[in-house]
Amino acid sequence: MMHLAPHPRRWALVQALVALAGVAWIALSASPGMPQGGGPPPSPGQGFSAPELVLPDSDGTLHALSSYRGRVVVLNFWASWCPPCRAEMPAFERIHQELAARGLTILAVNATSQDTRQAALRFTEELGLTLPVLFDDNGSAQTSYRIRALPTTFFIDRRGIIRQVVVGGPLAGAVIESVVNDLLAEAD
Amino acid sequence: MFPTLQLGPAVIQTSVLLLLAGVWLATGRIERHARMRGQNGDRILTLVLVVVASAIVTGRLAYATQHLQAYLANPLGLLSPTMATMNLEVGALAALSAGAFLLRRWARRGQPIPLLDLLDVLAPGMAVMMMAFSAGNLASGSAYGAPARLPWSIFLWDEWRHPSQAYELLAALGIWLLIERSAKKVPSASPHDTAAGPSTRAPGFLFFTWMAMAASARLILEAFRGDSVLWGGAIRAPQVVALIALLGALWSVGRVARSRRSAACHQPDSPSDCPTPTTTTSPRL
Repeated sequence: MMHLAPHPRRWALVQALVALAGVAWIALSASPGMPQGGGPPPSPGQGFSAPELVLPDSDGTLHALSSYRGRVVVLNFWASWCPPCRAEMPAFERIHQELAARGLTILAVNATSQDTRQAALRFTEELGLTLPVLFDDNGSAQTSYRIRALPTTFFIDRRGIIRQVVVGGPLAGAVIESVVNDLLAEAD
Repeated sequence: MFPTLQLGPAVIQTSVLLLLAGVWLATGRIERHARMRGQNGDRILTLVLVVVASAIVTGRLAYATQHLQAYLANPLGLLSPTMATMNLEVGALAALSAGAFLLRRWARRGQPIPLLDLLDVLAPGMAVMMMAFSAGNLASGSAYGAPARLPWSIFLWDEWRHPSQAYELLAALGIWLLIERSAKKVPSASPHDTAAGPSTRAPGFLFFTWMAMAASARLILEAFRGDSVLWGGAIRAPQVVALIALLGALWSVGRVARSRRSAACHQPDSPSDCPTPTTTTSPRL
């Protein structure tokens, strides 16, 4: 086709045909969009609805992720033996205290199937954590969120959609705060 | 999919590793093609480095300025290796400005790099980077395909989907091979210098050909993506941008090809398909 390029009229014809074919292809491949009344399907990836999880805290009170709909949620999977997890936890605690009133919930999900409750509780007491610490005793939450490495952090918007996934750490406080602030600034 | 590699306590994103490998390969190709065209490879790599560094540093600083209080309290957050905390628009603008500044500075010193020649040298590197991006998406599961039940569908994000990342990787590989093949037809230094023979390409031809192929691939393959940005709830925005880029690239290909043909037709041994010069004969009295 490129051999036609030096001939102005033939090349103009090529361009016109490409434009027509391009517009036709765009029209043919137009997306039907989201189904009415439904958001993206649940899956632990960016752009999907966050899969539901129901986990107990240290008192045995169950926390369902869906009960936090309307708030920005940061879901942090951690273990007490994981140095980056330990390093980033003080930043999560500080941001939880500063921004909870503006609509932020930080759920620290302990990967208890790879840790022990005692070690996890010792660590939370050391730091004096006030944010909800949940225990994934049988690993079901880790399975549904396909946790391959610790820490892994999910930033979930007010509609329950995962907007950012960060694998590894430690996350700098400024990074957590700026991502959360952007999500808090969005309308419900 | 292999989104991460765990090395002791460190978690490394596979896509970042592939991107770094892409940068390494791309700079190698750029240096080689610069030498093939008689350009100064070191200067072109310096330009690439300055452009990339400007984009990263300015993009991050612009983002930090938007969240000034958070970063003043924790300045080390500036070094965080995440793309989520970048202002991409400001970064792109800074990259263009830095590149233009450097080119102008070299031109003033009497060491100009003609823009079209520069773009031709960069084209094979860009083709390599396209492959690296696609391979990174394949590893991380990003840029996933639309739901489809086909013999070659992959199960990803809880559904059977088009393996859109594999389509894009194959397209990028094909484009790279074609560009490498086309790049062997080394252009001469000037569009008016046709001594190198009729098989040579006009400056800019290689780059605009790459751009046309890359835009065509995006236009066609975006249709199989499950995460397209939609305009008006249905039209896939990247396809519209790709069509505009494709038409721009084709127009530019025609322009550089005509300039070369016009120069060749003024040579004594002009190609046979040149228009015959009009001759006027004096009427016989």
